[in-house]
Amino acid sequence: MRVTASGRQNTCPIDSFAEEKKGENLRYFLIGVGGSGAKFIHAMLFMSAAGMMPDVGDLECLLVDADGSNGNINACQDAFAAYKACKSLMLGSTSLFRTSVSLDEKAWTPVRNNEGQKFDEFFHYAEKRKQRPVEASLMELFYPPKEREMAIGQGFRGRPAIGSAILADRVNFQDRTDRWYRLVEGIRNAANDGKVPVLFVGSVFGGTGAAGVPTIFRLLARELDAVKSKRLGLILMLPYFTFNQVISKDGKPVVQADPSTFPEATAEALQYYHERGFLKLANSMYTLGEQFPAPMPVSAVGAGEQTNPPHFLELVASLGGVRFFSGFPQGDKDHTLSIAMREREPQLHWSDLPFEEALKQKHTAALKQMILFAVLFRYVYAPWMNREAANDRKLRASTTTIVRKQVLPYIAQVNPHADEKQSGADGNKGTNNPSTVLLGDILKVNNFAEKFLDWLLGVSTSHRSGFQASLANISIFAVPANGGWRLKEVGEFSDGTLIREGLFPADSVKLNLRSILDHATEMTFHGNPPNGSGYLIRALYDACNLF
Amino acid sequence: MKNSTLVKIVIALLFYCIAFAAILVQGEDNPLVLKVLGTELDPHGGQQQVTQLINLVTSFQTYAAIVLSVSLVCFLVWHVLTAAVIRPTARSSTWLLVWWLLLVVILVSACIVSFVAMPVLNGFTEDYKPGYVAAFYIGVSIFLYWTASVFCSPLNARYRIWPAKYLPH
Repeated sequence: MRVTASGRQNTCPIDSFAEEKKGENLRYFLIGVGGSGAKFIHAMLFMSAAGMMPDVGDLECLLVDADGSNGNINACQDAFAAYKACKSLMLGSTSLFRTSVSLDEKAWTPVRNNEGQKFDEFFHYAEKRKQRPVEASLMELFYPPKEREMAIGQGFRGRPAIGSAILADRVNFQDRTDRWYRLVEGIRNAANDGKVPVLFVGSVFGGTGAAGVPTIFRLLARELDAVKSKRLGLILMLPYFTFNQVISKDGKPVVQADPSTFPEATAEALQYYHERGFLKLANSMYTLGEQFPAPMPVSAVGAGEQTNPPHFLELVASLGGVRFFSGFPQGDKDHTLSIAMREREPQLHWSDLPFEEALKQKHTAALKQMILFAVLFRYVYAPWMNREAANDRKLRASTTTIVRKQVLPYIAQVNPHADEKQSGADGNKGTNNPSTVLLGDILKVNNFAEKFLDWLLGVSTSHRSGFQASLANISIFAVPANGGWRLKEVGEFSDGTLIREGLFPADSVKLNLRSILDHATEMTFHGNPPNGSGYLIRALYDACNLF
Repeated sequence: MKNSTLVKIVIALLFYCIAFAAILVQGEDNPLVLKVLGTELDPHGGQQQVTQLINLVTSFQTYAAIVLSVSLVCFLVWHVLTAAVIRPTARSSTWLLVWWLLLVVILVSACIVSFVAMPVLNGFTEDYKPGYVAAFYIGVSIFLYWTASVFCSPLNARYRIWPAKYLPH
């Protein structure tokens, strides 16, 4: 695995935005193109949840994919929905879910509903054949019949030439109803308040990313030429996974990206980026690749079935995103080049992760805290609280110290009218009574924790035999299943194993659940305090701050 | 051990010390003991009465000390179990079961001590109220255990024993 980061300073020196703009809400723009772009935004949601984004700011994400319903887009949207639900909790001044993230309900797609789904139909080939035979002949020259007849509603299937033509035709910065118009307006408005970082992410070897990133990036850079305070960033994913030929229902191989062409396509793409001066257009460019591509267990050409599981390279890429949005690299040189790679091939340790040096300790601690919190929340806290707050009467009568100290005094703040009158014979008739509110909020966090752990599991295994990511001891929260791994059910979890084996290999911090819980129980908050269930959740999270 | 845990143990020990002091000091002149025994023997009466009273009171105090010690040990066991053994996430019933089991230990001990003490006390005189003595042994040992549990339980057991959850902490 190799990560290179090259930063170039143009007219304005790059510095830490958060420091400079403390007190103001900055806007960070993130455009994820194709499946890899969606997976990147997915990873960035978890980094944001862990408080790794700069102290202030809103992360505005845009997904771009010809196949708006592909599985990775759906997974990203699901994670965003879980994030959004947690963001609604009143947690006070905390790094947990601090960043406001926005993401459109649907990915932007160049393919509109009322249009034909084939390339030929998209560019009205049949009409051209009759009225503009020269243009039609040009189409025939560049695009063989197989590609022209390919349905584009499920992505460009490793044909960036098709994607470039379609995307260049459809990205519209002038139409007020278009998503791109609103994006550019947002960037311009944000630029009035100071520097505005815009980050593009996609793969260089597939279809949509390979077509969309250079095409849209150049169009956008041109459109924003007058915006001097912009910072443009590019994260290019080089080949890091592979897949088998997909066979259609009638037994024929379908048109899809061909993994054997990825290295060649990558070399050509990088050459293209170089020749077209992308390093001059972008202030920072990150390229990431993997020497041994991971075979993806599920392969399909599009729609919901195309869900590639997470890979550790997306974690590495998201650290690049955090680095970019944090205003790095700093310094007075025109160009900086950073290279990161694993110390040993089949292993990945915390020390291999390319954190920015100035933020390394803080971000390592934040990520570990999030992992510990997610494990404890899913397997210890949520089942426990579900039992304690099974109904309103039970919650009010609870003799559990943390409930009496961090829940009951505050839960009425959310719903001051919730009282025993709402409780029926089963003690739980009202929909807004404290137990319902608490359980709802716990469900939100639990849902997010589950998605985070599922992602972490994918990152840690990365679907390659012999590969070992020593970020977290996954056997604590996962078990082997069907040739891979799955998250443990609550009943399968053993806190004894967690204490004995530890969650982080070779970490000097010894976990003690009792002391973590005692700490949470006695937690007091300064500054902007939490509210309602936020007290409990915040206390449990803050108590995991051990690293 | 955390400071707060230590402070709670010290406070509980203080409760017990006060109880020990109230029962053990002043020998045959101890008004509380005399009231409990309900004896007509006069501490300023004849030599025989004084001797009987001293023996009665001394034996009563010895058995009381045993009962209180059992109560104190049970409280310390409760403290250790709740502070270090029972999982904080354990069900409510688990905590209560442990507390009640220790209470039964105290109750049974107090009954046994009362049963053993009767013939000994009767050997000195029959001028006392055996029922009062038994009730005192049982009542005081349980009361101290309960009081210490309500006010001095560790963090995770702080509200477990009625009426701790209604008290300010």
